[in-house]
Amino acid sequence: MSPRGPSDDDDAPRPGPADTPPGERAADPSRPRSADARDDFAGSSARRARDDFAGSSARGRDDLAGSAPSSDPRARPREPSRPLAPGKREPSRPLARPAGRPPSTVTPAARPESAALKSSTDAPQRSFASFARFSVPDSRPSDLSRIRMTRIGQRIVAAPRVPWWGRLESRVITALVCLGILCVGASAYLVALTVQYFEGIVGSATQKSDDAVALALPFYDGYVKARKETYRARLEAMAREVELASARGELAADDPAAVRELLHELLRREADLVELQAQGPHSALAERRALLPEDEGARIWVMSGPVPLNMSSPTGPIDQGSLAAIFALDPALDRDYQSLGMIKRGLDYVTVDGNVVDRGELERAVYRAIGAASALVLMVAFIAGFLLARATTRKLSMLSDAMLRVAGGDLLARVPELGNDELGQLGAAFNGMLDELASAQRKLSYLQRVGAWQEMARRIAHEIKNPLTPIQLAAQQLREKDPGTDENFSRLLRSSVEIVEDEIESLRRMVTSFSRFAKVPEAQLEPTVVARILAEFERAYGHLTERESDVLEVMPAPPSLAILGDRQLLKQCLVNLVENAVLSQRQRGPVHVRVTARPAEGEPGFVELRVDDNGPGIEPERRERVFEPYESTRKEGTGLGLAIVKKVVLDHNGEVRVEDSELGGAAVVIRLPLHEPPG
Amino acid sequence: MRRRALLLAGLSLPLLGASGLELLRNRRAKFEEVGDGVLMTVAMPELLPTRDVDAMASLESAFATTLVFEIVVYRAGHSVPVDQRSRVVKIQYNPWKERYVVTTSDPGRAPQIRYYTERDEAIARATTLDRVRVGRVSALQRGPDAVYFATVVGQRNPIDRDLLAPQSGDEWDRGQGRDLSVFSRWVGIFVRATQSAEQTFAIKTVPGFYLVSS
Repeated sequence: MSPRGPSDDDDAPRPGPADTPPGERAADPSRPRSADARDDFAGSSARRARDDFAGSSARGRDDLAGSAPSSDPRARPREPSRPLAPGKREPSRPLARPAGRPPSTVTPAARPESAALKSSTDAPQRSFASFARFSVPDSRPSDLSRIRMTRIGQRIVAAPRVPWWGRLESRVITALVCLGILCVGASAYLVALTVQYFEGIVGSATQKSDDAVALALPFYDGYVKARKETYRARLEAMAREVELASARGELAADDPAAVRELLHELLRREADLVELQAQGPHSALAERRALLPEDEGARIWVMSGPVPLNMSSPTGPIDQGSLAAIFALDPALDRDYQSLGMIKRGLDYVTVDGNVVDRGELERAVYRAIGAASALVLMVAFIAGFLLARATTRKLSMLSDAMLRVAGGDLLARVPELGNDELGQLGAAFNGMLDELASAQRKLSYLQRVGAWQEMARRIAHEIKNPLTPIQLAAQQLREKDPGTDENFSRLLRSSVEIVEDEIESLRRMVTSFSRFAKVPEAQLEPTVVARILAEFERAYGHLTERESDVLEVMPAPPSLAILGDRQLLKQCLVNLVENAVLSQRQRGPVHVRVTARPAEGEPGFVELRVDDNGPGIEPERRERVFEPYESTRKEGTGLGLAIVKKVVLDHNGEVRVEDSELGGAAVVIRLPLHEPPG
Repeated sequence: MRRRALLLAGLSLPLLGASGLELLRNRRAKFEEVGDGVLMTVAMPELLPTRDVDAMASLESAFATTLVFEIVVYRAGHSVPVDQRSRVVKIQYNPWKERYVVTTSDPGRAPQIRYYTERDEAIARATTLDRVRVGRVSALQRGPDAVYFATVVGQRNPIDRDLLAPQSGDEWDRGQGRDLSVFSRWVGIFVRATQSAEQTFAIKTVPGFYLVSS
C-alpha cells in the first residue's frame, strides 16, 4: 500500500475557506489569474520562474506576517523591496517582536492590533479582541479625565486613573490600620473599664479599711478611759481597804510604819502596781520602781489618783488624806494601735517599681502605660500591615502590569515568580495562558502563511500546467515537420526542441509539486495506533533507494501508543521526511535513515515520531526556517515537503522541530498528543 | 537670637514644671554664732498647720506624727552645699498621761524629749527649728563677701516602703508573674508624681547671713 499523496489532478477538491484566509483570496480580484502567471513566468525558465515566485512569495509572507496579530507593521516601517538573488529568499521574520525594536508610540485609537485583527480570521480575532477590550477604556470625552496614559514597555496604553485612596494598597493598609485601631481601642477601653472596676473594688475595700480604722479609734480611746477607770477603781478599793483597816483599829493613823506595811502588802498583792503613796497626816510610800521600770517598749506607767483616804481610829478624829498609785501597763495594745495608724497612712499608697505613689496617680499611670502600649502595638500593626499589604499588592501590581502589557499588545510580557500562594498560582496560570496564546498565535500565523502559499501554488500550477501540453505538442510538431533538407537547420531544430521539452518537463515537475502542496487535504482525525502507521509506512516504503548501501530502519513502536490522527497524512509526512533525508545525502554517500516512535521524555501524554538521517544536518539558525514553504538548500528541491509536514502536524495539534541526530545528520521530531480512550 | 531664646524657653519649661513642687519659699531666719557653731532659728508652721483637720485628728488619735528636716547651707552664688544636717522630730499624744510628747533627734546626739499639755504648744515646738546647729564656723568664710543661706526641706510623715504591705516579689519572677513584673516596670515609667510625704514644705532663708569679721 503506497502512501496517499496529493493528486496532480486539477479537479481535485480545492482547499476550503478555512485553509485560505479571506484576505488573500480577495487580494486582487480584478486581476486575471492567468495573466498574472503569464506575466511572471513568460519567457523564463522554470527555475527563474520559481525564484521570482519565491521572491514574490517572500513579500507575500511579509504581508501575511503583517496580518498576524502579533506583528506590528505600522510600528515597523516597511523595508523597501529589493531584488533577490536567484535561489535566495528573504528570511522570514520571527513571529514575536524582537526585544531591540525601537519603541513606538501608539494611542488606543491608533492601535495597530485593531487593524491587524480585522484582517485575521474570525476565531482568533475574537480572542484577541476580547483582550483588547479588556484594557481599552471608554473614550468618551466625559471620561477622559479619568484616563491616564501609561507607558508599558514599548507602548503607551490607557488605564483608568486611580487616585491614591482608590489603590488597593492604600485600601488594604487603611483597612488594617482601622482594624488595628478598632482592636487596640476596644482592648484599651476594656482595660480601662477593668482598671476602673478593680479600682472601684480596691477603693471600696480601702474605704472599708478606713472606716474600720475610724471605728477602731474610739475603741482605743474608750479602752484608755476604761483602763484608767479600772485603775482608779482599784485605787479606790485599796483606799477603802486601808480605811477599813484603820476603822477596825488594825491600823493606827499615827503609825506610819503600819501604814507603809499595809501599802507594801497591797503592792505585793497587785502585780502591776509600781507605786502606792498615801498623802496627808499618814503619809507613806510603797514602791518598786526598780523592779518595774518605765520603758516605752515594754512598760508604761499610768498614774492614777489621788483618791480620798480618810483614816480614823475608834477613839480619835478622822485624818483626811489621799492615796495615789502608779500602774504598769503592757504597751502591746499601744504598739498595735500605732501599727494601725501606720496601716491607715499606707492605705492610700502603693509601690510601683520602687516608687511610692497614691492610688490616683497609679490609675493615671496605668492609663498612660496602656495608652503608650496601645500606641506601640498600633504602630507595630501599622508597620506589619504596611509590609503585608505591600507584599500582597506588589504581587497584584505585577499581575496588573503584566496584564496591561498584554493588553497593550506585548504578548511577550510575563508575570515574574510570585511564590506558591494563590497569587503565585494565578500568575503561573496567566503565564501558561500567554504561552498557550503565543503558541496558538504562532500556529495560526503559520497556517495562514501556508494557506496563502497553497492558494498561490494552486493558481500557479493551474496557470502553468494548461499551456504546457500545447507547447509540448507544438515542439513535437516542429520536430516531426522538419523536412530534413538542411542538416544544420535540422540539428538546430532538434536541439531547440529538446531544450523546450526538457524545460517543459521541469516545469511539469514543479507544477506537480505545487499541485501536491496546494492539495494537502484536511486531516481526518481518528484514533490510530502509531505502530500501525510505522508498519504501513515500512511496508509501503521498504525500499529506500535502488542502492544496496542505503539503509532504512523502522523501529517497532510500542503497541500502546495511540493518537488521534490521520494515518495517511502522517505516513505522507514520514515519506516526505525520508525523501528529504535521501535527497540530502544521496550525492554524498550511503544513506542511513531511522524512523522511531516512542513516548516523549519528561512529557507524559505525548508521543514523538523521529526521523534521523546521516545527512549534512541543518544549522541551528535554520531549523525554524526550514519549515517555511519554498525554503530549501537543494537546487532541485521545492521547499514544500517540510512545509507540508508542519502543516499536517499542526493540524494534529502537534509540534515539529529539528535536532541533531545520533546518526550524524538531522533529526526531525514530530510531537503528537497521545489519545486516551474515554473510560 | 530669637530662635535661641525660644529654644531656651522650650528647654526651661519642663525643668520649671518638674521643679514646681520643690519651689522654695523665702523665710526670714535668725542666725547666731556660738562657739564654732552657727545656730539657726526658723519656724515652719506650714508643715503641721492646726487648720489641717486630718493632721490634727491623726495627732489627737495618739498616732505619732514625724517631721523630718533636711537643712543644707549654701554659699550664695555656689551650688555646692557647705554643710548639711538633718533633724527628726516626733510629736505624739500620750492618752495615758494626757500630754503631748515632742521628741527631737539629731544624728549623733541623744534625743531630747519635751512634754506639753497643750497641743498648739507642742506643735509650735515641733515645727520650729530652735537654735539648731546648721554649720561650723571654721568651715565658713568671714566677711560680707561670703554670704550664706540655708534651705530647709521639711516633710511630714515621710512615706517609706515600710508603710506599705510588702509585695511578694517571688511570685513575680516566673510565669505570668514575670509579665506582671514587666508591666509594673512599664507602668512605673509613666508615674509622674512620686509621693514622698504627707506634706512637704521647703524654705530658703532670706536674707542670708555672713560672719562678722572679728
